Amino acid sequence: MNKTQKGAWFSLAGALLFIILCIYLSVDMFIRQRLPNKNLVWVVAIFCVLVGGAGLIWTQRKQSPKEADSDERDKSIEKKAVLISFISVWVLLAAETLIPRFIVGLDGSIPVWMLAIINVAIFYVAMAVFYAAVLIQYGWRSRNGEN
Amino acid sequence: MAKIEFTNNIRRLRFDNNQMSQQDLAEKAACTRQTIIAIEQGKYNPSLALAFKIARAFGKSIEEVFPYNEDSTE
Repeated sequence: MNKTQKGAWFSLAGALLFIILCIYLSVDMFIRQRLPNKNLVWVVAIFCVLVGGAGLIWTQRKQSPKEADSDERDKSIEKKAVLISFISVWVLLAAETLIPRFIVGLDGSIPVWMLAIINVAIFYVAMAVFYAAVLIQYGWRSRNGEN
Repeated sequence: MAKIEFTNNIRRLRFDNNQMSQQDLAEKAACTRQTIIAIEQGKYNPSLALAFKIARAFGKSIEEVFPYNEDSTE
């Protein structure tokens, strides 16, 4: 895998983890009506530092010292992925507008902090769409053309 | 307008050049090994600049590396 693919895998995993965290917080605070565990902040912080650090080391390692960090094909793939991610943001914003209507009704209300969680989740979903689009264009795995 | 299919002789030229690996060619052409793989498999058409770099890596002209077949157009 080249650096762009590694970065996409690592970032996709990170985005999905944060989406799961947003869902967990939403369920805990909105449905179960309780504050999340105080230790959760420390767990998330330590997890981010350890996994983030390991991930950064992994993504920076090259297949060979002279390998190009990124080339024209990588840029072309990222350009298309940005467009796909941009389109997904519009879909997510439409969903953000419509779904609460069906859950709490037109006259219902949601807490202000819930809006922050939803917007952060939309950001991470858009990022996940971007990195997934990058990986799909690469073909999920780099085939060894030597075989 | 008919779709033009581009072919290349990269794989043959690599083996003719002391069994040059895809990694070696990628380093000489300043691109990634995955791009060389995609070009060999016909999944990616390189830009003019990259095509010239690849041809220069083999010491060949660009037409020898990327033959343009007039018969493939209608």
